[in-house]
Amino acid sequence: MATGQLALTVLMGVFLIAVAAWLSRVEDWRSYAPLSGGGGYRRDTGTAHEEKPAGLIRWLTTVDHKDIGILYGLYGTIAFIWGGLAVLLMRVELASPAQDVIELSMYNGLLTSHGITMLFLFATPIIAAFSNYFIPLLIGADDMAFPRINAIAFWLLPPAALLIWAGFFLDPLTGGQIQAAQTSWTMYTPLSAEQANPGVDLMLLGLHLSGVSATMGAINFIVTIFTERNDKVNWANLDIFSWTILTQSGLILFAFPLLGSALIMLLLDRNFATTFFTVGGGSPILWQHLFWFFGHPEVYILVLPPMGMVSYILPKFAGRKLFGFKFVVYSTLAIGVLSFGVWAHHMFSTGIDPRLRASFMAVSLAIAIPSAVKTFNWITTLWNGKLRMTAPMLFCIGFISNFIIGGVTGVFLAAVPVDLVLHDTYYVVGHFHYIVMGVIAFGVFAAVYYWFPIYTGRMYQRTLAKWHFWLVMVGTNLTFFGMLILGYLGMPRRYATYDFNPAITPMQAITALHQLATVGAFIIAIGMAIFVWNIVMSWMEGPVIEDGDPWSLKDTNQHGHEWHWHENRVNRSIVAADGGEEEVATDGGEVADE
Amino acid sequence: MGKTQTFTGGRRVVLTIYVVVVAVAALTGLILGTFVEGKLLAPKYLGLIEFPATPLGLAAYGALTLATVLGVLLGLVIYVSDRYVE
Repeated sequence: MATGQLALTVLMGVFLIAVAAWLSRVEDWRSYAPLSGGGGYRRDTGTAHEEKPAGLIRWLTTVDHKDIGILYGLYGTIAFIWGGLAVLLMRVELASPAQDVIELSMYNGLLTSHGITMLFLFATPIIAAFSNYFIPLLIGADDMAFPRINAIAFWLLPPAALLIWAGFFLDPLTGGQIQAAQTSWTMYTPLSAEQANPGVDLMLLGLHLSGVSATMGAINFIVTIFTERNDKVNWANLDIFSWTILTQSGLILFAFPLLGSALIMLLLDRNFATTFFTVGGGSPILWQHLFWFFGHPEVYILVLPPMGMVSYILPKFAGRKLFGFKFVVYSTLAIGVLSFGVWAHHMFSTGIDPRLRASFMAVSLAIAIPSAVKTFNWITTLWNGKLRMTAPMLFCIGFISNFIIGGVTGVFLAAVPVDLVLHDTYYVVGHFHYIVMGVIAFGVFAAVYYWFPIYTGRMYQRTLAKWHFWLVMVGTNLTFFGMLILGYLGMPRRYATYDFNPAITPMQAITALHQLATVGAFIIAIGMAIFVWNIVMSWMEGPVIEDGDPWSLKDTNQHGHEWHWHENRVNRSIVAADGGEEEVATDGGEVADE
Repeated sequence: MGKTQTFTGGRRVVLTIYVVVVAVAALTGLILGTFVEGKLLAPKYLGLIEFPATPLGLAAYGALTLATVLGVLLGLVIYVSDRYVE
């Protein structure tokens, strides 16, 4: 056995050396590495991205912020599909009360995987997709401050995903010795400390790796925005998306290292008999404090950039500047600061000191104010606007209406007495999914469509985009509104099966609401299939954009830095091309002569 | 681009969102009232006007409460928009 392991180790070592040797031979890396001159400050480095190698090697070795942005986007999409399929299985199981589709352990594994995948492998990287691609363009920088760290930060993510998902693959291979982690995404102790399954350790290591990746990215964005801005871009005219990414990066810098430390402590508890979080010797409440000190800022790490995207995109199609720009920036910073003072509202029902609960309730209610300021400014921007109902605009409007529902339901949860009743019910699940799916994902979709002409050079199919919007909008509200009602009726979250005393809670209603949520989830899935189809097909075959201003932003004096960059690129390619392309079908409204 | 663009009035869209969100509150009240009828105390609008603890009573209570809260915010939007052009 030991000989076999030794042989395997030697074999892996030889394999890794062979890969390293091959990579060092296939390309002269210095020929296209932008920092071959060294240093992190902006200067003429003679960066020549045109010298990128072709094919797969380009994508494996790239340090270009645009390429890395696309890699993040691809990665986030794959993770979204994984997380989406996981939840579809769970919703099928919940469509009837008894266990009848998947085993309970599988359900718990999917539940854990869905949460962690959507938060850490989809939402965080998909935001990085846009920030990597567009922040340097928006601030007039050549690239990120540390392009290689940027690449390393991305390449930590695939192994992170493999570790987090490892239990699913290893379960059949090891005869059930290693299973998917079944701790839920919150990894509450003592459950997570006491489960013997090594799949939990793999998941914790993967999660730790994704945190290292996010922290490296955040440091890069902070340095880039501080030091790489073009001379014409100052703090006063820095765009709102960059402001939100800067704030988000600050939150990551303070929150993720804490998660990393807590994960290491949990791993030590599991493997080396330390007792940080155990019932005897340590404290499960300590885990919750540490986890939520990270976990609540994480909510804002995820929601601030989509808020920035909507604040940036919505005025373009409302034909007027964002109302109260300064106050939107201030509210972003205020949310950033307050987000560190609300964590214990996740712990109202744990028996913590009532004085502590009261203070956290006050701060939790207070954070609604800057959030409302943003909503107020978006609606005021819309009020006197002449709106163009393009796909990005539809998603911005859907974002706002979902945010109102998600926000109002959240205000109730911030109140201790209400939280004690609704805690750990589907009401909480409905509330935060209104934010995560109805708000964060909608902001991302708006950005995908808005910037599609830049990163693909083509235009998407606008009819399919509108189908995508309406299906996802209807599906989101059907699913998560159903969950809010389920919560009111007392359906606990996380359970794979359910049974109620009809004298207390109508069982038929619970089942019907679960079925409604399942139907909604499938409607979302159909919308997402259309989305992926549209993006892939339009990327390959969509009409080529030859217009430097496909959204007619010059009409309202809103042609931003990234579109200037796009226009320069288009002009260069038109000079080089032979012309005569078909007319570009933009999504700028109805066609007059149809 | 060889295309003209159609525009939708911002006011119409905002008012539609307002109506939809208030309707969601009414629907919530209606559904809850149906499922738990007979087990609820009568809610009081702004702590003053009592509504019956029936499905319709809860729907009206929910809609009116949210219409008031969001209506105040909408009133502020209209007030600010008319006075400050940015």
